[in-house]
Amino acid sequence: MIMEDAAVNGSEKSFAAERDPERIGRLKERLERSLREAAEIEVELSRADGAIRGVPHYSVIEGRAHELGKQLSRAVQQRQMNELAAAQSTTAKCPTCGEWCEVRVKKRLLQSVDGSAEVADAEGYCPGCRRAFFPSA
Amino acid sequence: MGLDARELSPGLVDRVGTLAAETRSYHRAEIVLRKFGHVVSDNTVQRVTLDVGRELAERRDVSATSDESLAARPEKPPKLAVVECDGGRFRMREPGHGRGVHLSGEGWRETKNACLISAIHRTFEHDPQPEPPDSFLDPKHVAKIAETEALSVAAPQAAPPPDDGEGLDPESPPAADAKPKGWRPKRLVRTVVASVKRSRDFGRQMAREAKRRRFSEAVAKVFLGDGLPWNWTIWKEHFADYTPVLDFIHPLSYLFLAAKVVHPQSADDAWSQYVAWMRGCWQGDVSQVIVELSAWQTKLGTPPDKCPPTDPRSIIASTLTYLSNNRERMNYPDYRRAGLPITTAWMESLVKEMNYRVKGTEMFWNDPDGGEAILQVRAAELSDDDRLSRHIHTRSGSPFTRRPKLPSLKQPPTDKRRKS
Repeated sequence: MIMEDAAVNGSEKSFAAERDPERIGRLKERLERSLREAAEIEVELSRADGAIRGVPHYSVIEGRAHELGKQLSRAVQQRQMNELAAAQSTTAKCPTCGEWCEVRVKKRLLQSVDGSAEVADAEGYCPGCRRAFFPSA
Repeated sequence: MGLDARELSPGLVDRVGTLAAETRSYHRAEIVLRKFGHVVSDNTVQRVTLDVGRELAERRDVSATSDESLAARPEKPPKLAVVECDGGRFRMREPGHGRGVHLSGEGWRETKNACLISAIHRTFEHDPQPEPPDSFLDPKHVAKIAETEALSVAAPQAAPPPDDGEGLDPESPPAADAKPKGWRPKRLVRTVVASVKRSRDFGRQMAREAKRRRFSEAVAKVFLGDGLPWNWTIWKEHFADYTPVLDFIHPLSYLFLAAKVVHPQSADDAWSQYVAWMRGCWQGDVSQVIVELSAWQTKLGTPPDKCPPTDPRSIIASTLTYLSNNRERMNYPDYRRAGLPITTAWMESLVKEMNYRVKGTEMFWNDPDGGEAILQVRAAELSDDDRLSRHIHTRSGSPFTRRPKLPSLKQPPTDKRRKS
């Protein structure tokens, strides 16, 4: 959904790039490679830090793997939100009075299914209404 | 982006909403969430339920032709459209009061529930089950249905397992020697409407849901209810082209009690009388049952003013009134031939599912907002079309950290009528 919105808001060039099947193929390959590498590192790390010794209870393997997945999820959420916040215009209309107001990027702690993630969020402030608002709502 | 008050992601709101609907308290939802690593307080669970419940109520009340409507429009209309409704009760605090027990009287408030079911069915040339099922010939089972003591008569022969209609295959005709089973329709998709609003408003809610689901275009349409007057007012106003069917279980209860009072000395005679009357109704001979009950009324006399409801004369009179008022909705052989349901079993089951969440010891709801909101969330969760999650994953976000306060879900006076 975010990608579709970004495509609509972005330039035609970026829209075409997103639909480029060759590029998509390359990116998918890179992602798979990186995930394999992340898995290898996690296995090495779990042995290096002593979390896994001999034949562990499967819950240890599962727990660590799941935590890694959540870490990745939070990192993706942060990255996506950073990109969206960076693309946000520096002014926006106040949803209450319609006045154009300054927008700044702030950090916000968002609780997601994969834990709390500190994400960038564009926040406007209307001096007239004396109220903060979020243009990306 | 659908961000809720900038605190919870839509995925987490989905989990919170689902747990609020499925566990018996906001506190239990908090415990389960914590177990899965989410630190969400019971206050937040309650706030999410209120927000989502209000939004669901708003979408429930938009025009059936609007894309905002909660019900998804199916590609094809159903073969059989079944609409059932019934009342329930839960306890609310005194209006405007929060936590703590603030009751106005006992605090009971009537809720209204409806299930709208698309189903498949078969039609038959002859009545596929002319004899009543064994369960209605089991004294203990019948006493349980009628919520009274069983008659101590000889136990009937062991009954075969009840037919739940699960084996029905609409594509294959029944074998020539098939027993009268498999005539019951098979449920496909159930959606649920629930509210504490007046029956007039509730009828409109049901009508919008039915329209959106293309029930009016169904090959066969049936509306089932018990003797509650508002059921049949809704049928008359919004579902008049549906076949009206009185839930068979209700007359059965009346007849059992009537049979007991006309033969107080002999359990065997009372049981035989019940079986004769019940079989008469099952086979569509309600007029004969009314004639016989009228004869008993003449013999016992009409109940005087202020006659207690347990007096035999009152019991016969109320049974007669019940059957006379509903006789047009008791053509059970016709309904079975048409493959229509004749009991509100689907509705009774739904009421139990609703009550699991909204009714119980120490379970009180804020009046007006809390009660209506939890009914919306629970009803959405119990609908087969995944509407609760669909709504949460598509709801608009809030431009503010706190959502603007929505107008209160005003509660009009409730119906004071009780089951007839």
